Amino acid sequence: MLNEAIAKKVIDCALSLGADFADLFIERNRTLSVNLKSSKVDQITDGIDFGIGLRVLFGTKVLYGYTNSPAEDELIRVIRLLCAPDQRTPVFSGSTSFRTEGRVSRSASHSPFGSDLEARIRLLRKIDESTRKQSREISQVSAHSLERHQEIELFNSHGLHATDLRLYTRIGSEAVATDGDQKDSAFYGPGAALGWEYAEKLDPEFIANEIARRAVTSLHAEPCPAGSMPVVIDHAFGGVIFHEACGHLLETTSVEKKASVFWDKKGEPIAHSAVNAVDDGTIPGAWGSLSIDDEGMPTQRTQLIKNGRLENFMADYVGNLKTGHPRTGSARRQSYRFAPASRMRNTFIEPGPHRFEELIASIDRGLYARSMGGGSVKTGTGEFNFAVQEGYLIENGKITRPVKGATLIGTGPETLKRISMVADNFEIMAGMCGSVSGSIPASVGQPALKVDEILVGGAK
Amino acid sequence: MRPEIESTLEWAKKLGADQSDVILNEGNALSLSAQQGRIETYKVTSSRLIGVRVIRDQRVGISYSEDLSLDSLRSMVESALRLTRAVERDESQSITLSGESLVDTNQKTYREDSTSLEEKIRLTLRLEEEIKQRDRRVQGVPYNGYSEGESHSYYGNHLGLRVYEREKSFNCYTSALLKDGDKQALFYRGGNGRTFQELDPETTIAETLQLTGTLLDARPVPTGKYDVIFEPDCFQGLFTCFTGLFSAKAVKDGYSRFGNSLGEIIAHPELSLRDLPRFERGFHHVLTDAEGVKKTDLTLIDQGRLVSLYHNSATARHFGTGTTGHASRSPKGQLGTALTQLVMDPGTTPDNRLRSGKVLRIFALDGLHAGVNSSSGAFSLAASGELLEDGVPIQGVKGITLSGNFFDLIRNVSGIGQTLLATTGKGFFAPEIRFSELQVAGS
Repeated sequence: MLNEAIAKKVIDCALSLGADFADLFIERNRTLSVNLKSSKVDQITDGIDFGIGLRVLFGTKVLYGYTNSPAEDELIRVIRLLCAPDQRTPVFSGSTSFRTEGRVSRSASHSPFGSDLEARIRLLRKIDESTRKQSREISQVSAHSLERHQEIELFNSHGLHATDLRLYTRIGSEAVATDGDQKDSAFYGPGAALGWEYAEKLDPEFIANEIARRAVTSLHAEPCPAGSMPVVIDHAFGGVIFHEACGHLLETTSVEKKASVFWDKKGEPIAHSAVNAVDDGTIPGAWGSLSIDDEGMPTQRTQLIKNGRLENFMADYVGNLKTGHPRTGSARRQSYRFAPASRMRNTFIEPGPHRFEELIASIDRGLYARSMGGGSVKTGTGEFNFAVQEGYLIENGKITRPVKGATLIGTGPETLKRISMVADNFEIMAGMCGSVSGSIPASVGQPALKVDEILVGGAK
Repeated sequence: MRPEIESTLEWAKKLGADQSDVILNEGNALSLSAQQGRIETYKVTSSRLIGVRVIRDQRVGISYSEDLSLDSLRSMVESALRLTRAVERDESQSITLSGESLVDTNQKTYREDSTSLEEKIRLTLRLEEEIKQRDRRVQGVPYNGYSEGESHSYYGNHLGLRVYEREKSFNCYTSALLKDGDKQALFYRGGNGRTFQELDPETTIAETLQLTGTLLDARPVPTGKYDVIFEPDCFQGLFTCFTGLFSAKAVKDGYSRFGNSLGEIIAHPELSLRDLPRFERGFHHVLTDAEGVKKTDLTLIDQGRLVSLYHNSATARHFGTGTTGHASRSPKGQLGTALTQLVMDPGTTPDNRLRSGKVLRIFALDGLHAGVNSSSGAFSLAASGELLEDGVPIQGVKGITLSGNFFDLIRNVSGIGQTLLATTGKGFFAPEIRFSELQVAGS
C-alpha cells in the first residue's frame, strides 16, 4: 500500500531528527453493513477507510500522528511536526533497510467481499422471520451483518516490513418484546475473524431462539433482589467477568503506570487455585485472533494465571520498554487513528472438573447469570461492574424464577479468590473491547463458574 | 463550498440519482499527556471523511470514503447507487430542502488560538504535578492530559442548499489514585472551553482531589431504599441513556413506549425538559441539523406533560408532522435523530428542604453502557458518592449498586432545586433533583 522507498525516507527522517524508534502503520479498511429492521432492508452501507499512523519514540516518550494521505511530503510534514519538540542530534547515522516478513494470514475467505448481497439479506430475513415466530410478544426485530476486510502494512526502524489481511464477520440481532406499556429487549452477536463463510454456517433458528427467549423472559421477570450472594456465571460471554475483573489489569498499559493492583504481583497467587487463565491470539478464526499484532509481531498464546498464580502480563513494544515484561504479540488498535497498546485478544478461563449441575446444586440461595451484558473496570483499584442480561434465582439447589435488572460489582482481586468451582462446559464468544487504543474485536470465554459471594444490585 | 461536494453531487445526478446529499467532515487535533514529570504522549492528527446519500426510486444508498480524489468520489457514488438496488422503498426519506447557503462563522464556537505549544505542555505537566504535590497519599496520576480539536463540517444537496459550520474546543482532565494503608481510590475529572484561556485547571485539580479523597474513606451503606441527588455530570450520564425514548425514530421503530404518551403526564408536575441549541451558557451552539434544517428550541416535557417528540424529516413525514430540526447523520451512517443541549427548568424547593434528612449524593455511576435497558427503563449501576444528613456529608459511599426504572424515576421526585447547574462539559443543565426511594445494594 505504501511505496517502500517513501517508508524508508520517512523513517530515516525521524531518526535523523534524533528519534530512537519510528514505525508506520498503513491501513485500508473496507466495511459492508446490511441492516434489516421491521422486516425490511433498512440500510446498506459500504465504504473504505484509509490512513497512515506514524509513531516516533524518544526514549519511552510516544509521539503519534496520522494522516489520510500517502504522499511523501505529507508524511515528512507529520514526522517533522511530531519530532519538533524533542529534536536532538541523531544517534543513528545510517539508513533503514527493510526485511519483508512473509504474510502468514490465518484469515482466508472462500467468499469475495460483498459478492452476494442477496445471501446477506436472506440470512437476516430468516433471523427476522424465525424470531417473530417464537412469540406473539415479539414486537420488533433488527438484524444486521457486518463484514470488514482490514489490510495492514507495517514498517519500522528496526527494519521490519510486514503485511496482513484480516477478515471479520459478525451477525448482530436484537428482539424487542412488548406487553402493553412494558417493553424489554435482548441482543445476540456471534462473530469470527473469518469471511462470509462463517455467517453461512450460523443457524438462524438458534439466533432467533436466543434473542426471543431472552427478551420475553426479561419482559416478565421480577426485579432481582439486592445483596451479597453466591453467583453462578454461565459459560461463553460470562467470561466478561474475567476480562473486566482481571484481564485489563494484566495489560502493561495499566501496569506501566502502576495503575493496576497486580503490577507487582508476578509469580504470586492472585486467584483461587482452581483458576487457570489464558489470552490466546492464535485460535483459528476466533474473533480476537491475529496473525501478527499491530506492531508486526507474530501473535501467541499467553498463560496469564496458572493454578491461581500470576504467570505473565500482556505487553506491547512500549510496555516492554517501560516494564521489562516480554512482548506477547498483544499490540492492538482500533485503526490507524490510535497508537498501539497492549490489549487482550481471546481471553478465557480454562475448563475445570465440575459439571454445571454440581455448581447449581451447591447453592441454597443465589443468582444464576445465564447470559451477561457488558461491564467496565477501574484498573487502578480493580473495581468492576457488569450487567446480567438473563438471570434466574437459585433456590435450594435448583434454578427457579427469572429476574431482571441485576448488576454484579466487586473488585478483581477479591472476586478471583472467591471462584471456588469451575465447570467443564467451555465456550468463547465475540465482543468489542474499548480502551486506550480504541474499540477492538476481542473474545471472552469460560466454563460456568461459581463465585462464593458477590454483591448483586437489583431493584427489589 | 468545497469542490468535492460539487463533484460528488454532479456524479450522483449524472449516474442516475433522483436526489442526493453529501457530508464532508475535516478536522485536526492535538493531545498531550504526562507521566513522571515528563510529556509521555504527544499526538497530532488530521482527518477527512466524505459520505454520500443517494435516493433512486425511493431507495436509499449510502457510501463513504476517506480518499477525496476524483476517482474515489465517483466510485463512492457508484457504490451508493449499486446499494439502492438491494434495499426496499422508504417513502419517508426524501431530500427536499432548498435555500440559500448557510455559513456559520459563530465566534462563540470558533476562536483563533495563539497559545504556544510550550504553554500547552506546561498545563499538561501541571495536571500531573499538582495532583502529586497537594496530597501525600497520591500514588499516581494514571489519566491526565490536554487536548484540542478543530472541525469543519460541510453539507450540500442536489437542490443547491449548502451549509458550512466549524468549531474549536479545548479540554483538560486529570485523575488521582490515592492509597492509604489498604484503602485505594481512583477518580477523574475534566473540563472544556472554546479557548485555551477558558480552561480551569485549578478547579479540575481541586475537584479531582476532593472527590477522590471522599472515596478513599468511603464504605457501603446498608442495603435499602434511599432518596438520591445526582451530581450534574452523573445525572447527565444516567438521563441521556434514556433520551432516545423521546426520539420519533425510536417510536417509529417500536423501541419507545412514548408514542402513545403525547399529551400525557409522564413526569413530576414540576419537571420541564427542553432542547435549546443556542442556550447562552451552553457549550454547543449549532446552526443546522444534518439535513440543513435550522435548529430551533423544542420543549419535550412541560410541567410533567410530554408535549413533543424530536423529529428528522423522515420521521416527520411518517407521522404527518413537521421536522423539529433534529436530524443526525455522519458521513458513514444513516439518517437518525439527535438532541443538542438539554435544559431542565429550575424548581421551587429551597436547598435546605431538598437536602433535609438522609439523602445519598451520587457523583459517580459506572456501567452506564451495560447496566441500562432503554426499552424497559431498568437501570442497575455501580455507584459512589456521599451520604448527607441535613445537607452535611456524614460518610463517603462506594461499593454499592443503585437500581431503579427511568419511567418511575422521573415521576418519583420529592423536590427540584432553584438553581440551574451545569455539567463540567456545559452540555446539560439541570437543578438538583431529589429522587425518592431508589434501591441500593450495599453492606
